[in-house]
Amino acid sequence: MEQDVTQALRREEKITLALRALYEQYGFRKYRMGKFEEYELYMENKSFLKNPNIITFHDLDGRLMALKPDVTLSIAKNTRATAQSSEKVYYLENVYWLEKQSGGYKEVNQLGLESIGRLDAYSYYEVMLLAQETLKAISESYRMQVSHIGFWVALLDGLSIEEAVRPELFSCVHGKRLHELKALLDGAGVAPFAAELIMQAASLCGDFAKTLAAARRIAISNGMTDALNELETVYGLLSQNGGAEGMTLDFSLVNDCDYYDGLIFQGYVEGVPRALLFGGYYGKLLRKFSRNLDAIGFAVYLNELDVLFRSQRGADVDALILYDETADLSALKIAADSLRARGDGLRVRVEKKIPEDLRYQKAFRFTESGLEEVTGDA
Amino acid sequence: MLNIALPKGRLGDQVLSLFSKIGFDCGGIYDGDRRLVLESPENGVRYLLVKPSDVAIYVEYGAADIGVVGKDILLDGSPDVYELLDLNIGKCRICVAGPEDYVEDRESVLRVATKFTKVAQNYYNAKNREIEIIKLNGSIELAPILGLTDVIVDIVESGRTLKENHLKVLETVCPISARLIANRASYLFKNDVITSITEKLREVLPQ
Repeated sequence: MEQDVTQALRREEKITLALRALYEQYGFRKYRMGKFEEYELYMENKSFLKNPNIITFHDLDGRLMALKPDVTLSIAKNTRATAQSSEKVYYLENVYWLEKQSGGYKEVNQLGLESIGRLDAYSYYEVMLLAQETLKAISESYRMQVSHIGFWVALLDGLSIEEAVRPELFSCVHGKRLHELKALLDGAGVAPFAAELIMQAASLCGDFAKTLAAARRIAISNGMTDALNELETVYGLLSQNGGAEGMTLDFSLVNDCDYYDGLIFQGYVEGVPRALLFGGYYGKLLRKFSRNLDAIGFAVYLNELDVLFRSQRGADVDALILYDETADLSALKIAADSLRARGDGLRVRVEKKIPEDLRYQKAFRFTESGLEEVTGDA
Repeated sequence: MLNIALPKGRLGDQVLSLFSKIGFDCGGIYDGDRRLVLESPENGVRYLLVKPSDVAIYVEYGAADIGVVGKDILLDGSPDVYELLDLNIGKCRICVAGPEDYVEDRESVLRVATKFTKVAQNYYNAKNREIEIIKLNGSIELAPILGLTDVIVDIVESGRTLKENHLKVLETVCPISARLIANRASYLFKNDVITSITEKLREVLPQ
């Protein structure tokens, strides 16, 4: 009996399979890694971790090991990419994080991809396109916020803003706390014209092309212009096949500045209250591993899909057959089999009593004369 | 429908009055009763009246699109939300307070009673002062009186409660006021209405 086995998969699993096929179409190869990593890797690169709380344990040989809190760090450390040979990989892995509300650890299922080597705007376009296709596969109603850390660093360098002020400055920008940003700049003795430029940059948000044009008006250095040119090229390529839909340019997106140092983007789908896709350029991390290479990638947190699809999930079975002790079991078997044969992958469950937590489409009672559909409360 | 989380109590009343000024009136349906949800379908908004400390959670987790919350709650919970506006209402300060005759012993670990544990820890970390925090949820002023702690870190509005308990403000940690916050996803998917509300509120804010 030939049957589409994917019918048994949950929607999240189907999406994951479809995305893996998509990533392979673009030449990304599956990357499988061990469950643990030496803790030392995370200790030495703590600033690159979104969540520094790590589950550790001692291996039998005494080494301190960690359950992975992050996949990119492992890929970046072990990449085979060189200046002559790039590497494109995708992965489906579990990572372990401390959850803020419960204060306990949780397992997060993460699907992502990384492109490492001597890259250019074409590679960035491809990764951003795949990020967008990933969001589209999850929901037709999606948004992708894009920004560029290089734009901010060039602006702050150009205005000689002290390093000590920058973490709080970025925190204000990321939270759109413009009222506090103004007070911070005044308090730090930033010159009025410089403060005004920073306030303008922090407010740049909206339609991609219009925001890009507004950003060009405040570009005061080559570094800022380079960042904007990169955004424009990638946006141009994405626009060619209508791919720039749902994209906004929002320069308040400046989190994870230690992790990303170029293009940065985040993805949202309607119905999930927080970003579920995070990505960007992380050449700085590669340089930390003494590799002078470019790297860009993204990860989507599949756990968030549970929130999205929970309400859309249908019945557990299509048909429930109820029988009693007087039933002819042979006739019951024939009736159940014939019901299953009616539809491709039709899910039929046979029970004497209705299980408490079972959701079913239709219920039938098995009698001497065959199956009788039960209407109303079975 | 835009869901707006507001803190129950006096601050909530002030905020409802601000929203009615910008055309999102629910005066006709709010009469101080115990309902937790007030709907104004003609304005496309639903007000959720929740415990002040829960407003940010409702917004961060998307049960509310926007909300109004005291800065003290934001500082202590660090929710991942946009903070769009300082509403300049509900003004007060978070202060360090101690007995009227208090003199700090800098050789000892400072014992601090507070419900704002994160704010207190950050404040003393910045001063490189070693402290021991004792978390209390109410009647914080009792702690130094009974010798439970040396000082307290708490909200001070008029200073009357402190005075009545023979305590005084020793240092101001930070000023507090009510803030308009927005869920990050709602800000993208309901951008027009959230931006419009923010701009209208900006125009009617007390200076």
